[in-house]
Amino acid sequence: MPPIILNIALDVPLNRTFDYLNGDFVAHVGSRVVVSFAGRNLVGVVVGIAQTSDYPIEKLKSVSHVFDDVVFDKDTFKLLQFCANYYHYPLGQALISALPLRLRQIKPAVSRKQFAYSLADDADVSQIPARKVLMHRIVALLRGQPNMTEAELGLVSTGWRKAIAELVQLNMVSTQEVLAIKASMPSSANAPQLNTEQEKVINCVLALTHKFKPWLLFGITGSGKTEIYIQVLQQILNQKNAQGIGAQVLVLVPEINLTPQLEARFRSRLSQFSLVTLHSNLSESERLQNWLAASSGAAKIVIGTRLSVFTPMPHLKMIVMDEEHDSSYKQQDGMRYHARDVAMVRAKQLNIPIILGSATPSLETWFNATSAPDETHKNAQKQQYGLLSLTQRAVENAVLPNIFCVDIAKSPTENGLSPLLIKALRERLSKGEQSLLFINRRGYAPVLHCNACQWVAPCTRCSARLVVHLSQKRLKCHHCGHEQKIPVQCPSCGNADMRPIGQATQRLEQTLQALLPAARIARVDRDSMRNKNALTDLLTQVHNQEIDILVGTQMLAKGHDFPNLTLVGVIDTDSALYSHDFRAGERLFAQLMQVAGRAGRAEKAGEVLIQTAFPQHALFHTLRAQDYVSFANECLQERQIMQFPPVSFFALLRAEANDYAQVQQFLNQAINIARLLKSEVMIYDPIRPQMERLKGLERAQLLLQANSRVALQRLLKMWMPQISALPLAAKIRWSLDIDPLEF
Amino acid sequence: MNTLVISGVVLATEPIRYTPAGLPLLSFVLQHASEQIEAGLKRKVECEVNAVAIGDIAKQPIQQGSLIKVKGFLAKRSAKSNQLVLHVEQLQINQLETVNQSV
Repeated sequence: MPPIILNIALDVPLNRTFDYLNGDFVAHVGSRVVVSFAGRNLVGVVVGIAQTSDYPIEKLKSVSHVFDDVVFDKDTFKLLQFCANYYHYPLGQALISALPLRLRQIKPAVSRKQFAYSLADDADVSQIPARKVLMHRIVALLRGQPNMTEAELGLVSTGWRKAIAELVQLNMVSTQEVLAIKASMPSSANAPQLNTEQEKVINCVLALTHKFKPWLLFGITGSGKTEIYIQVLQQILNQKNAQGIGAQVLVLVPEINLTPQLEARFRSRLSQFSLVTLHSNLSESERLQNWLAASSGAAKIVIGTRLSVFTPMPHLKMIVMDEEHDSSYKQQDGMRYHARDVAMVRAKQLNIPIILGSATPSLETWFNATSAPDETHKNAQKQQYGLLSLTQRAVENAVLPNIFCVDIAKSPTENGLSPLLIKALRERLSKGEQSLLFINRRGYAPVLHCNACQWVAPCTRCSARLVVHLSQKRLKCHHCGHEQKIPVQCPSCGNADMRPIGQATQRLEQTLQALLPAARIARVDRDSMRNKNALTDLLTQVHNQEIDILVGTQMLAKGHDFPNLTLVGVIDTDSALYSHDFRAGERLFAQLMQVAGRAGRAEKAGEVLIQTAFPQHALFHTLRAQDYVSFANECLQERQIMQFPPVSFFALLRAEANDYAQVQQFLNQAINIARLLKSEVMIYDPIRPQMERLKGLERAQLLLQANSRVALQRLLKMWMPQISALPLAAKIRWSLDIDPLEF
Repeated sequence: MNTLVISGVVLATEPIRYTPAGLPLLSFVLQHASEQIEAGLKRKVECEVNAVAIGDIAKQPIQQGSLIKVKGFLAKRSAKSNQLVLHVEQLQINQLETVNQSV
């Protein structure tokens, strides 16, 4: 019998697989195995089974274990393979990093089992001593409701585990293991009345559900996009395949812990379908359970952040991506994928529809959705995006807020607040309405400055300034995490009277407290929302009208729906207008539209005040008109002239090391190789990014630009192996970013 | 060498504030009036001096109307300014005077 050789992908930074003999085990493609590699035991995934090897068979080792689970189905495997190729990332690392942590470990992956409890038929209550009150209570409850879950019992008393253990021992209660999918809430919420636009959109999508079709759902803030997802998904989920197995859907969201409302709405409206979430806020045990529920097909709805785009889902019938423009869909380390692009590929491979939803679509998507299919273009047969527009707010009589710019050059601010904004805040307060102040900087002040000698506190490891966190009396670097005490005196001249300069959330909160002592003010930023449930608790408070003014960073900008919030103030966004990143304008516009969209979502009209020194800027002009379409088309024209994405395609080679000379040398060698390879790709000279130093490493980067993905990929395919083989490649840190978002 | 010794009445004080590292800081204006000898001739002198006390000294009861005597050094208000500020190193408050004023 010929030997069976397994090609195994391992989590090592080498772009190849490794051959092992199967030993006495039976393995399939997609099986998890344990192998000994370079003296360590590693978990790997079988990617191929062959009968021959390029290596002498007698020298091959055998795998030391094969797990029973097949962790990747064919489709997911194909998707990851595509991504590893496209993003030029080692397949083994791509595969392993798509697994939950527990499945990457050698010890058997177990998650705590969950049980449901029922009362035994012959339970004799008299056996329970009368003083065991809790046991009596639980028995009484179980009598009325068999199959109580742990969550339900947890509500009875914190000591339920001990009580139930005794009951189980007495054989009075039977246990049954259940899949740990969180119990859905009873379907209390009724479907709201749809307006004609919404109905039209839903009909449009439901007319084409059995093939690949990308939809862009372009709806203004508050236009009821979530309702459309729910109603469309409801129809999809009701489909059953030939074996009677229900369909699955994948809902991608930017940051789930920021949008608990979305999850709650899905849970209550689609309560008949089991739902799991996948995001970084879960414990590893929960994550494994949810992942297994998704990959077994038991969970019908998966709501997750970017990583969940790789979750195997055997009956996937539709992908929905909310806030598709959000930059958190882009992975910034390891395999630098963009979840939107990966989701698109996945939908195409599975031949299913995908809905991208946003009030301010990314220009890439807008370009795809609006550019006419060009016959001369290479991608003429590319699937045209369907553009679905929602132009009205869903709540009747709710209109878009009025946006005004406050010229802070003309009306000077008092601790960052212009008189107009203060007046508007007082008005809301007296009317009992809520306000939101948006400032995208956490801490007390962005700079600590000595006005005797002009010294500012720098981070020793990054090209950045330390941010003042006054309540803790610390200076923090928001880039590398460096922290130090606030110095008693200026290290340069000895002056003790140093001043925090500029505005940030803590300072604004303090200013407001002094200015409006009667107001109930809450601050929302990464510092105040450390706790897992802090944001959910705060949102509840806001809904219960226990907060008058919210001060917060972008955490507040996304997806929240506060009916009584009528004023949004935007403090200090001008820095984005100077940025050298060509996407800064697009991002600022999207962010301001999102924030502005928090105002006046219900019957009360909203108002947005933006404090800026440049009220005449073209961006504010289109923003005031809330005219995304003009803004996007203008931007696209600019990109066309400049030949920037989405018109062209970028790849960025980043390099960093302690010694800048090595970085320079590496990039120069890389350039020389690239210029020898004949191609239509434009190779720019190396430059330093805005953050020249980060975490103590000197950085530089090399930009490649091409008119087609194909040309770019062709060059990269030849270039990457040669770069990897450079002696310096092993000495410094470097990475390749395809379609980079940040420069 | 940079030492100034001067006495006078506290004309106005700002609310006490704290440096980012937590040191108390009090800014005040000292009104000075005296007779001095210049070129062998007696003359009257009046001036107002901006002063600042940092650290424990800022917690002393410096109030409007206090008659005080201070010793300190002069420094620019900021790198961009040519105004001088007296930084207080030593301070004597004439308690009796203060009490009389407040009665």
